[in-house]
Amino acid sequence: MEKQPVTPDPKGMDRRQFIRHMALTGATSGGAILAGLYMWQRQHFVPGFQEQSGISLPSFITDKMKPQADLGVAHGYDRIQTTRAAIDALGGISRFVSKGDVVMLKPNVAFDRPPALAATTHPESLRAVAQLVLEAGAKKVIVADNPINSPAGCFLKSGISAVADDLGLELMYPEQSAFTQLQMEGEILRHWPLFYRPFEKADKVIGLAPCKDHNLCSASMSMKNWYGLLGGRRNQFHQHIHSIISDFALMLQPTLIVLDGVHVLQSNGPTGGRLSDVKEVGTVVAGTDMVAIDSYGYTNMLGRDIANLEYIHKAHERGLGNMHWQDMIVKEVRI
Amino acid sequence: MSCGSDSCGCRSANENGGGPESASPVTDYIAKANKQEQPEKKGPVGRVVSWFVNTVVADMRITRVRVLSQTFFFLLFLFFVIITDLRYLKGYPVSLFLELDPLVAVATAMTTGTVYKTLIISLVLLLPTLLLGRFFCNWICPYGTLHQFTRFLFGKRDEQWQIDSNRFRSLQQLKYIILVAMLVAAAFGSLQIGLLDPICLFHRSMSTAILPGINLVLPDTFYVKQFFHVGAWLIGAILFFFVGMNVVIPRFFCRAVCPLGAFLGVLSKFSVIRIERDPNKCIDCDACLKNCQGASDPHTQLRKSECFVCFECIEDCPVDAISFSFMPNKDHEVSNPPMPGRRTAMASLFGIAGYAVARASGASDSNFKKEVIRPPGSVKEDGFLERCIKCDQCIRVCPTNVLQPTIMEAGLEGFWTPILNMKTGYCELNCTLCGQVCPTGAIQRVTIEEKNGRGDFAEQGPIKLGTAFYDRGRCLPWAMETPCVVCEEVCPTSPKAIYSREVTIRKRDGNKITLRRPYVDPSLCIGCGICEHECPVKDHAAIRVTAIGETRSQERRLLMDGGDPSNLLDLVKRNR
Amino acid sequence: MEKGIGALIVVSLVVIGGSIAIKGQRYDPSRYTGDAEALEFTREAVTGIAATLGAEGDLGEGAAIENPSTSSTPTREILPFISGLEAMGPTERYNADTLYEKINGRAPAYLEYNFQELTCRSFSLSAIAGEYIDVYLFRMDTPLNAFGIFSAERDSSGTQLEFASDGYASEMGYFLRQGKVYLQTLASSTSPEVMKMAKSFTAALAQAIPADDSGMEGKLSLPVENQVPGSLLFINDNAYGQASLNVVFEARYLINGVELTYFAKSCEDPARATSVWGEIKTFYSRYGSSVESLETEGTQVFSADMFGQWVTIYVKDNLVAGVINAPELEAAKAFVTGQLESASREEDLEAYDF
Repeated sequence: MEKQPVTPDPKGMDRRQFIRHMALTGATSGGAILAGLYMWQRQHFVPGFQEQSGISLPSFITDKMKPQADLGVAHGYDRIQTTRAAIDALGGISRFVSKGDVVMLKPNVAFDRPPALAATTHPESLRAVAQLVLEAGAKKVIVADNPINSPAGCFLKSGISAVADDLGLELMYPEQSAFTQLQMEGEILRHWPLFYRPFEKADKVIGLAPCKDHNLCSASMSMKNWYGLLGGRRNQFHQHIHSIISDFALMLQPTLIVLDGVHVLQSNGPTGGRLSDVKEVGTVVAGTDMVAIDSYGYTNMLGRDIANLEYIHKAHERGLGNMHWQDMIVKEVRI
Repeated sequence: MSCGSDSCGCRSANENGGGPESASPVTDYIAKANKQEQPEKKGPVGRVVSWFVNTVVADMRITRVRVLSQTFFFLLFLFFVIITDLRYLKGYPVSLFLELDPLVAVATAMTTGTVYKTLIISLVLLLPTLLLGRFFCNWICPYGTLHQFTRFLFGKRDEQWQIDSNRFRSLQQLKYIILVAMLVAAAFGSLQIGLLDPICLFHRSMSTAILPGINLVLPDTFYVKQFFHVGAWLIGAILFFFVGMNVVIPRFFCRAVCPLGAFLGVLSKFSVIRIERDPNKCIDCDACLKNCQGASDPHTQLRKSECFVCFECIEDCPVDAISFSFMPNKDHEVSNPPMPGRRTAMASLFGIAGYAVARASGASDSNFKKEVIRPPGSVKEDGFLERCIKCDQCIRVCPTNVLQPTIMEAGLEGFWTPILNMKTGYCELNCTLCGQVCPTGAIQRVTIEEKNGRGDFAEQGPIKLGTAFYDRGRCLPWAMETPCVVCEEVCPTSPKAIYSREVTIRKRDGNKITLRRPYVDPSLCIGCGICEHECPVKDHAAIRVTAIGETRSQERRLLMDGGDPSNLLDLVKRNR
Repeated sequence: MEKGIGALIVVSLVVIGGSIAIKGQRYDPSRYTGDAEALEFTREAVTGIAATLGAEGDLGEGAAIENPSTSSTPTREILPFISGLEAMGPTERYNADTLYEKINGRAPAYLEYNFQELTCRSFSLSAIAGEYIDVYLFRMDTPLNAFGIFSAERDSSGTQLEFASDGYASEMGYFLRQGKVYLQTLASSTSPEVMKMAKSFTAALAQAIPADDSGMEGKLSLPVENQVPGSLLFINDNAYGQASLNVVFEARYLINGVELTYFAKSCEDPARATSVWGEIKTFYSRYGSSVESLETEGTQVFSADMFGQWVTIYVKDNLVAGVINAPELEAAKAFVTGQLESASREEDLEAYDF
């Protein structure tokens, strides 16, 4: 039993110690309460079923200058000249693309068919638009698609990669890491992998679609073209094809759309296979409203009754575009 | 009394005229009261009442109140443990002790960044500790009560031995090392405090070892059907070891091992009221050490971090030199826990190293075991290891005995966490009891509708624990020419996940037989395991559930179409 | 002071105990089941009918067979080797579930004809860089269905192939039906070298694919002379609005400037053929006009007019055939008479093997 040395006056502590101690205790208590309340999780969740978040695409509509017309229609058989003329009818590419823009071009490269079979965007159509965009001063031009068949084969056999190499366009392949979860309130599309990498840096988006017959949805034109932005297992879509195609009009608002009807695949689409399925129509339409453009294409390039095209009606009723192109300002030129 | 000194102020020697060796002042007072009672004759009731009035009420010493409190909480703890059974559960907050445990709340806050639901009430213990010190250890903690009572029953009665056994030992540093190592591991996302936290340990021992043990000896006491738990012997042995050590070192666990005690000890640093010895009155007899629970050196400079606020020293001091004072002199105390900085650093390294080494064995990641089927409502595996405190409450409440503590199936980190073993039971369809009692949200408090994908949750579908697979080489109709479709009959989903196709085969003996051969539809199977449990091939069932296809994690969902199934199911359901 | 605190603590303990007791009584029974009987699990308690499916041949060993050793998997197509061509990638195979991944929206058309498996590969020409051919072998379940999809996609301007009776050359490819297979060989351009290579490959494949014309008897009965090229097609069911006219072959003929549509249906037996013919005649009797019929040895013929379009339909043995939607009755009658006469000259239908 050793005696510990103690100070003579055992009563209490001096003022400063007292205040310091009280302050510390108070601060710790207060801190504990605040931290606890801040981190408090009151609601349980069902693991594995939480709401998935995703990105949504911004609008790419340019507000620079209103185009001269809603639809620019050019008739001719030289693809490059006719495409240019169609865009010029809207007031020229400079109304859409500004100097220093990064522009994403979305062609339809779904199948590994040679260009003559009109199952994919013709390489000359891509060349025409890309040249225009470069002339307008675009800093970079991206070409991207997520094909149905194997991407390398498709870009090569369709002649698209040759144009990209020639003009120095950046070709983006649909790699696993290039996809991000999309989130939107579509009829069918809610959460789905989206080929997002081309959009990351893009200021402007231009869709380039051929006009073709489609066994399942009757016709594949500019709206159906956006199918190539989706990843995952797209097979499920064919049960709800019309709703999905109308969802595309909700999914994004592109800067410009070019529908190439110089050669039109009239039957056995979307893959075709016979030159006899292809008819030379000689029309190119450009505009910003994909519903209007597709209505025009279905009526005037495929020569069919618009009453039969379900997804156009769906999109129109949902207010995603105007199918009555006849009521819009249409500027027609002939080469 | 055998203190051997005339100057000694031992009360018992002076006041009671050197009566027989008494263990505590309580008996003295009862004896005194009884002496006083003798002149008047009273009936038995009268005697009890007057005893009560004269001893308990009239002499409401703080130590008696403390004993009352300890008894109350101990009985409350036992009550909770016993009624954690689907027959009796009702709405009782059976995980109350775990929810009050500040270490559980703080550690899970460190691993998950959240305080799950009821864990917020740990503030009720945390804040008073900041003011009063480690009162929890001797007023509330049922495990501490068990230790103290064991020591009371079986410990040496020799006074000098008692005094010496209650001196501070450097061994008491160990619990701080344990605490730091565990908290550092928690900071990295591995929750191991449950291994040694007293409430978790006690709950776990009761659930897996003690209650089933008692039920073996006295059948039907606690269970409808005897429960068995994997590795229960180890858990029971550990409990007995710690409890038994009280005979050697009083409150061994509480002083040397308990991480909760260490945590509260750290918090005691801020306390504003503590035990204070008046050195002027003190005669250095060391009597205060006789019943000192915390070994906090009340006879010299009080170690605040070790004091259990048991008030025994106040009672034992013959000269009333000890009091419970507000903001006494700082020189008379040791404020900080007995942990030099270097030791803290070392403990931290243990924590980091332990976490890294355990996590690197991949058991919770790519090398996940198929047997790790977690209870319904469990969060995904790395989140589970961040939350599970191995209290085994879920194992206790599970009505079918399907939940078992793991040994190595979930890796080192998952030691004693719950998994389903379909041999011992199955997951009852309309039951979410495990989630109701889980205090930390390792198993979320899902409703039955959410679990089975009914009502509002029909679109998202049921929670799946895994998927059943047939072992056709063992299945009776597939391999043994014998009819049997027990699995199909017991499958609880609607429509059934097991279907069968009729087939006619020629048996070995030449006769034809028409059989039904079963198949699993993985899109409907929820992995409940009734099929495996009821399969007549008892040693290694012909249909077995494995963890793949569980809905709680994206990576382990069964990829049926080869794509992103949640998107597809989303799509299909919306257009069904 | 001590007593006061002591009393306070005791009271708090009572309050705690009381509130726990009260809390214990308040619970939401739907949150968990308090059904202890659920533990007493008995098999009799289980309701529900086990879903049984009939014995399906797809499982092979599960079918009701006594000697379950042969599998029903058909032999797979192997592409022959042709010098001058190099493979551009691996051989791809697609079944009914995965066909969509190759031909996308065109798949439903093939599935309508019970598509079984697609074997396809691309080959580059060793001699000319950048030119290639794509070969697609669509195996269907019957020769009839292969013919069906072949004729659905037929290019009417194609030129007949000499090595395949059901085959034509298009500007950029070759298409034929052989046995159960519909073969397409697509060239990357119309250049003569590529087309020549594609043609050789197609011919080699046509030799390798087993011939099978079962179920095509109706087609074989259609004459070749005066047939409008590319007009031969196959109607699966409900031909001309007649419920009994399924599996019908049709071709158009140009005779003296008049185009006639002639069809033929081969039935299982003469009784069935007669019954089918009878149903058609009843239909035209009810809704048409000017119905004439006559019966000669083993043959019955009737003709009728419906809204200005004439039909002349006969039944002979297993065959129901005739001219449909003709502008003039005489031309129709003459054609049918000609058919019957040549049929009676050559009783053996197999002589019509063009």
